[in-house]
Amino acid sequence: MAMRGQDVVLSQVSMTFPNGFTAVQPMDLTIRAGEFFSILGPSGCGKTTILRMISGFLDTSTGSVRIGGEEMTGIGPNKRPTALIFQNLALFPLMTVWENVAFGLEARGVAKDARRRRAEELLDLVALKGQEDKKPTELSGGQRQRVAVARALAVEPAVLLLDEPLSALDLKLRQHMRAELKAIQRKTGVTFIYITHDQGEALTMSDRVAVMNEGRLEQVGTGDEIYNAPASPFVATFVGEQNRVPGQVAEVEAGYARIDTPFGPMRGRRTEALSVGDQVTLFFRPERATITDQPADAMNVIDGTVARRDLEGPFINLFLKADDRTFAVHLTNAGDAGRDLDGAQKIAFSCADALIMADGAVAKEAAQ
Amino acid sequence: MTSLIKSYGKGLTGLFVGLTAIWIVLMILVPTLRMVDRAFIYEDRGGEVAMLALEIDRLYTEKFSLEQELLVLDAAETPSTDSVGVPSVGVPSVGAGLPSPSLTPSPSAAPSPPVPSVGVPSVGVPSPGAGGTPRDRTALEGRIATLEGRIATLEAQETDGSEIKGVETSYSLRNFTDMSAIHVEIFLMTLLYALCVTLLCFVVCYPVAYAAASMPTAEKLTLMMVGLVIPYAINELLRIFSWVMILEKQGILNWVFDAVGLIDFEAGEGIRFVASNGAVFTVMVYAYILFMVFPIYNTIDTLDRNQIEAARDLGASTWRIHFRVVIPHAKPGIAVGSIMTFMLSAGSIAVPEIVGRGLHPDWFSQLIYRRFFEADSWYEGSAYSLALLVACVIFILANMAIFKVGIRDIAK
Repeated sequence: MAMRGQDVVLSQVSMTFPNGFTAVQPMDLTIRAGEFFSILGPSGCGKTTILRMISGFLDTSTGSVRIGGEEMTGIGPNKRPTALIFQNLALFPLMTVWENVAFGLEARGVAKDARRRRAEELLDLVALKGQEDKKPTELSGGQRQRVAVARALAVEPAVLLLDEPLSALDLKLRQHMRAELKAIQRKTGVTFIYITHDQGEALTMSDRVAVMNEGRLEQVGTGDEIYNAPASPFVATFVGEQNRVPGQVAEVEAGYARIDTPFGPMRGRRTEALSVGDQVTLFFRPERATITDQPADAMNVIDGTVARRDLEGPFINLFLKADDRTFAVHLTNAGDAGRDLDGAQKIAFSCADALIMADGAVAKEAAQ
Repeated sequence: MTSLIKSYGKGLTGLFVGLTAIWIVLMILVPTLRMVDRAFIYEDRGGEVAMLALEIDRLYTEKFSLEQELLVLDAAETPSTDSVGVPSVGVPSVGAGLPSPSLTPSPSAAPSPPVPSVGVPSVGVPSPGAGGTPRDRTALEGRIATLEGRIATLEAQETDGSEIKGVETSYSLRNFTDMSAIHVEIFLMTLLYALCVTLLCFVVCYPVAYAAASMPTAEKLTLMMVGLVIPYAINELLRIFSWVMILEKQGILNWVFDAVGLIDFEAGEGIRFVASNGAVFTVMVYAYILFMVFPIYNTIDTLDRNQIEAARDLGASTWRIHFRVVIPHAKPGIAVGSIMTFMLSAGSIAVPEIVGRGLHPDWFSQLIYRRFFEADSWYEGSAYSLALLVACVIFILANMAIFKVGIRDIAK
């Protein structure tokens, strides 16, 4: 199997539909050859539109798509070095599994024997040996998933585009398939562009992730960068859970800022230029905060009252009320962390774990 | 059944089931069984009994014409006896009336009558004319009596020969085996034509159905569907005649050709489109288009668009997408559409009658009509109908086998 990934370069690509709706604002994005790249965003953010522009089903309104250095404008989806895996997989229900896998080869005029051999190889790759002559409807959800991957790989694409292919599977199977997809990507070296609204999928599988909102790229980076150093309030709130504290800048330091909040003065990292008096929001992750009687001096502290305690196996999720806000704290279920906590408590988190950003659009709901 | 009772109650369900049963028995079972029964009854039109009946009929006709002659004679005699010795114009008028029997086909009537009329040249002599008349009368009356005698003998024979008065009938396959070579040819050609119409209809309807199913907006689709349905609000005969107006030698199509300059109307040029296979097929395709479009549209409509995109993405050409993805999916719809179109066109009588003009080879349905109402042979008519019905059933089964669809797929 001589597959090789190619890079995908979007320059000033935008998409405006005939009804005037702009699904994708002009953007530049480079996806490297052989990389597992995810595009993460809420539904309607334009991520599927990008996928369709790369695959050729949609023509770009402006800008150009280049795959492996070759300009793709005017080239139809059947002539591009891409293969698309649909959200509902779109297997051909009336063909057998091997015919499904070999369909792309059939379209290229490969002889039947060669097609069958190739289909068997690919089914072997996705661990479906022996299922060649079944109909897709006779397979389980995970198996169908793998048929779809094999079918897409059969045409030896340089770029494999995946449109939320795991969303129909249950959690266990989804986690299993993540690992398999990642393994297949490593084995074949094909560039994977993976569309999802599931941050777990994006973070676990991807070499790099792009977070999109309302047709704009919010941030492109590795999973660590996206999670630990979000570039915008949207990314901060969309990826993972965040507690938010509103405030006003009191003092700007190198890399840090001090702010006044309804819960007293706090200090946190900043990523952008702020000036005194700016309205800002301080974000901190529930798992970075602790409950303690004696917080260290450098720590930010919020006084709250335990409103709810949820046991989630490895974590204990505490919800504390302070004024009219609720703050979440995730404690590791280890040692005495599981002790009964109620009444007034102090939430403490270090300044390095707090992120201060100027007010901006936040995610309406966090990614799952 | 239980669910019916649950939702409609016992009374309504009973009514519904009862009406359905009556409908099935009266409208389907009884006529069909009667037809099948009749199809196997052979009416011996060339047999002895039939010959007897024919002969009796013939004798009655002859007797009737002789009686008519007698009446004419009576009418002529009455005035002439009143005015004896008075030279009158009455006699020649009788003579003029006499030749009429010679017009009757019966050979026995030929020898006698003309002689007297020729033999009365003088108007003034009453006796010879009066003397001739009684001789004719006796001759006529004698012949009528002979005829009555023969009729009585024959009728006696007939009553002895069979219980039922009329034509002898018996169960046999002869209605089918006696079908003339021309009728068999018409039968086979009709099936072939119906197949052609079905194929043409599919070729026309598939793109229409695909386009309709692919319409992006509801408004466009509604417009298209209304456009397809509206012609069906017009009576079928009117639709056929409007096609005749188009295809006629003096019709719209030739007029357009004239306007374009292809032909010259003035010089009497013009193409006779009607009474050709092409015309009959065209009108039939138009008449049955909806029966093909809707089933195909319904199935294509359920096709997941992603499958078409997936096929395209995998490099398939438009043809391959249709042959490998869309048509296999639409098979049940195509099967239903073909069955309906085939049955309708094989049984169509108005189109071949009106568009064919009798110049076009007959369709089998026209033959069936003539068996029933012109040859007055309901047994043969039934046999011909049964043959067509069997052919259609075979077509349905073959269709289902070819498309590999079951009754259940079709019901869907």
